Amino acid sequence: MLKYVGLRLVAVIPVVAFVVVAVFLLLHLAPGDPAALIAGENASPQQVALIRARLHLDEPLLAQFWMWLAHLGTLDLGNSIFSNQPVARLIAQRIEPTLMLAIATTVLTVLFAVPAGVFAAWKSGSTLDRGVMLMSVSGFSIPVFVIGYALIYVFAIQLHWLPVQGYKPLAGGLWPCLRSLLLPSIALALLFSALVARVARATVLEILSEDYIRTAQAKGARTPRVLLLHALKNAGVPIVTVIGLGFASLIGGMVVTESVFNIPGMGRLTVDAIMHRDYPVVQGVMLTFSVVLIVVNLLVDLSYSLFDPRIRYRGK
Amino acid sequence: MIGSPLLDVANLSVTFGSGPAAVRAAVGVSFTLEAGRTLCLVGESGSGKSVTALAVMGLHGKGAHVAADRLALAGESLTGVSPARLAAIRGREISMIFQNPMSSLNPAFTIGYQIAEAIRLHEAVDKAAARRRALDMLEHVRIPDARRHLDSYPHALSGGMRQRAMVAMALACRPKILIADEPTTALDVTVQAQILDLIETLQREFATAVLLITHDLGVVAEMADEVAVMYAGRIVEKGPAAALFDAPAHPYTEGLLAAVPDHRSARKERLSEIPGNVPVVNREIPGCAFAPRCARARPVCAERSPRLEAIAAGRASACLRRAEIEAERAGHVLPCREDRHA
Repeated sequence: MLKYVGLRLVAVIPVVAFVVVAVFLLLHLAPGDPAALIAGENASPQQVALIRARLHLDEPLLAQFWMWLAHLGTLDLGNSIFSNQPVARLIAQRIEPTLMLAIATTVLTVLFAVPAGVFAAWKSGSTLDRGVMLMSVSGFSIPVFVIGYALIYVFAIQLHWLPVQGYKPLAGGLWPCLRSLLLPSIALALLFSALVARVARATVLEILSEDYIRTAQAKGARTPRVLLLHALKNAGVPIVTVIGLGFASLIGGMVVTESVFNIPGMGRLTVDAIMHRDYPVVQGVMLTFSVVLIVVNLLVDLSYSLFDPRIRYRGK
Repeated sequence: MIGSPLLDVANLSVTFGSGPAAVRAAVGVSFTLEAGRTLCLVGESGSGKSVTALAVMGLHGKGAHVAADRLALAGESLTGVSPARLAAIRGREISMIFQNPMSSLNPAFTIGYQIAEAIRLHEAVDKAAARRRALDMLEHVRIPDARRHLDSYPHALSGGMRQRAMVAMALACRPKILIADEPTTALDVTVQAQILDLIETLQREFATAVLLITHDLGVVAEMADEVAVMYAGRIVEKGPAAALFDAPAHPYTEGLLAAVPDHRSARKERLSEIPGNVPVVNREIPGCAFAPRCARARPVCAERSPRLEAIAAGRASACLRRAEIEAERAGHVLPCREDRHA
């Protein structure tokens, strides 16, 4: 088991290295002079030269890389070209709403989509199954901003149950924070659930025809136990995998959701940085998202051993 | 025999689908099983043996429709019983083991957990006590190094060991009946005998009745007290094992017996076989379902349906030409018979 964890951790190193190099090269892979690109079309030669000097773009590529790496070691991601603030601080300010939104969305998704998928599999072919699948198709097809505005219209404007927009930081208490996140996380969870419910249904449906399910029934286990213990534990690996993979697509949806609900998170920071050609910020954001995704995937990998004992043994 | 038999099945039918395309997997199946006895359901693949057994357990799938005049365990009807009561009966009163031990144990739980679960589903014992009993059962089924295998996952065990674990799980609550659906078919020949031996030993120790489903007449010869031969969803012959082996009263039984290789024969003979396959019964078959494959069939066999009729003490056969065939055979083997009765 420990060896399995160790192997997984070691496997992360080359991925991180690749991400670091790729993010560094981002600026240099864009065609043309990066400094001119950043300065914009109407910049004077002096402005371009200033930017070039500030970003050390006049030095050899390798020297630039070592410098960048050294700064990275101290969590120094450079300064924003636009606001001149340290990128690390900008990200630190923006990461909480995004992480909270991602966690709330994932929790909502797991609580809703997994039982829905299991139930649909159990009652496969029934009206209920079709209802769940219809919701799943809708979740895929309706853009998240449409769902977002519809939720705002009904629950905030008409019913006044929840705030229209904005984010209340966690420091102000858990409940106000969750209240401000409820509508955006529902909007995102509908998208995410579409994927997870579908996979949960397909996996459980297949497992329900396995011999060991019949064995469980033959020894007197009732339906809830058969579904939630005997079937679901075996369905764990595919379901957790799709949650991990879906997390990546969640980041895309988050950018839109943060705009709709006016949440000052990473998504908005990213869009603003790209608009302003604020390369240091873009690099910082990419690096952050990459690290988050690597961590999520590592957790997914490690969780496999909880569901399937054979994976633990293979690591030996 | 006083009172109702332990398992009483009368006129059981299992149908898949509905309307004219419905498949009648079992039709008018009737048998009884007495405490501590072994009844073998015999037949080729597709003859309705497994479907009958699953219907007794209430484990037939969603698509199957089960009807019976009587399906009773020790006098208690199992038809129309609540899911809760059915779950309470399964594993405690009637247990079942299956053909493929490789896929019948849940890969995500330890052997010990799965046996202890069977106990805890039916008895109010704590985890530690259930675990002790699971260990005791593993020792009963003679799994070597039982204490270690309590925490093994199924993938770490061989097929034979897994079937032993299945037997341990099935018998953990000392059920009155064990249904074994082709329990040795998927195993190595050397292991087959061990598992049968194990079932027999535990059957005696726990006084369990066994409903054994098999296509292997060698298994029947070793295990059965009574035999019911099934063909195309119907019982075509039943009776005490010895009598049935001695003088089969249905051409199908005859054919099955002739198809058993005789290892004592010195010559390498071509094995006798019954030509053709078991038909899928998705329409009313006029006449006898076996007639197209029957060496003794006459035109009448394709017209009239035979009924299962009592022919001797505890014996019954469903063959229109039984009387003629018997006379015919008596003609051939008469001297031999007389010798024995003398």
